[in-house]
Amino acid sequence: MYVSLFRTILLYLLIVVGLRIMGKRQLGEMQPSELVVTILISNIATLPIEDSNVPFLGGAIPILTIVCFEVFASTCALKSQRIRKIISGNPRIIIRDGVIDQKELRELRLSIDDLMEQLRSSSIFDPKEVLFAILETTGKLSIYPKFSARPVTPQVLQISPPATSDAPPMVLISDGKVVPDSLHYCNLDEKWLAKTIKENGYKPEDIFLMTCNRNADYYIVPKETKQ
Amino acid sequence: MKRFYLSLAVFIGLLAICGFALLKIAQTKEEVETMLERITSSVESGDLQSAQRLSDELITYWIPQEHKLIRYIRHGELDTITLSLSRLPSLIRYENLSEFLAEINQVQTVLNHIWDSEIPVLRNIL
Repeated sequence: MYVSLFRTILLYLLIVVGLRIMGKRQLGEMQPSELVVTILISNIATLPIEDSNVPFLGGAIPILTIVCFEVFASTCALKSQRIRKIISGNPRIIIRDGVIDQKELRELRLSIDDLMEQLRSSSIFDPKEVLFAILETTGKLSIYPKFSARPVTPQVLQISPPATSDAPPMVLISDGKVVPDSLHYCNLDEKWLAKTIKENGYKPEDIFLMTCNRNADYYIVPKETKQ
Repeated sequence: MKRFYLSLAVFIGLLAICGFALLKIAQTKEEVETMLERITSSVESGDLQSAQRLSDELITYWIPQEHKLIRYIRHGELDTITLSLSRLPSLIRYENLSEFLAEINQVQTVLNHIWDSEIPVLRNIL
């Protein structure tokens, strides 16, 4: 049983390293080739774990080969549009100016229910409101609504933004621990932080969460006391 | 491009490991086959003492090789060879020559099968 235990740990580490080599692309929405890689890796990894007759290298070599080829393929796809089209396919427009392209839907084998579900998940309940709907190579539907259906933005209302509107609040204290990078991002220092915490009647270790923006607007969530 | 070169290095490493494994199998196969041939000719010439000595030598040679080969080959086939070899000393001691030669044949067949299934030819790949 120790063999299975150590093999599982080694294969786990190997897959983590492999996914790190493949990069963040692999962890988000997947291209068809990336989905294949993920399925293959998860299946191959189980062979040497389940069957101690299979050498460890019998699992490690295929996994690393797949990882290498995924990187080679994505590098080639980056350099050549033709290869990119072969590996990932093309995005397809399925709604133009509120009109559903039924031929395109048939080719994609996408039912009207699937389409309506994806529209609804983007808060659109009427295809008439859509100017363009594009089915991306990852299978996600990107929707560009008509002007009348677009949400109101500050730009439309001609509202000028406040000074710190583009600076989101950052976590200054997480579970009692100060995050120095966030403090630096907010152009604040330890002295200000210590003073602010004291003014609110806390110690850093009493704070569960503290966020702050560049305008020094902060928000404190104290730790709940154990009953 | 850093990832590309890292992958290239890993891939070259993998090719080297596969090549090394194949070389190791070829060396072991050649050595064991030579020893098996010597044992067979000793038995056929009626020199059982020499056959017994050579069988012991073969077992002594095989055990460390098996420990190396289990890193590259499924253990089942190597276990078959080890089991057959372990029977050889008793079979020759009690002069059960037909069984003895059958076991030698089995070892040879399994070794050939291992080699045949490991060589990178189209027949094995497809």
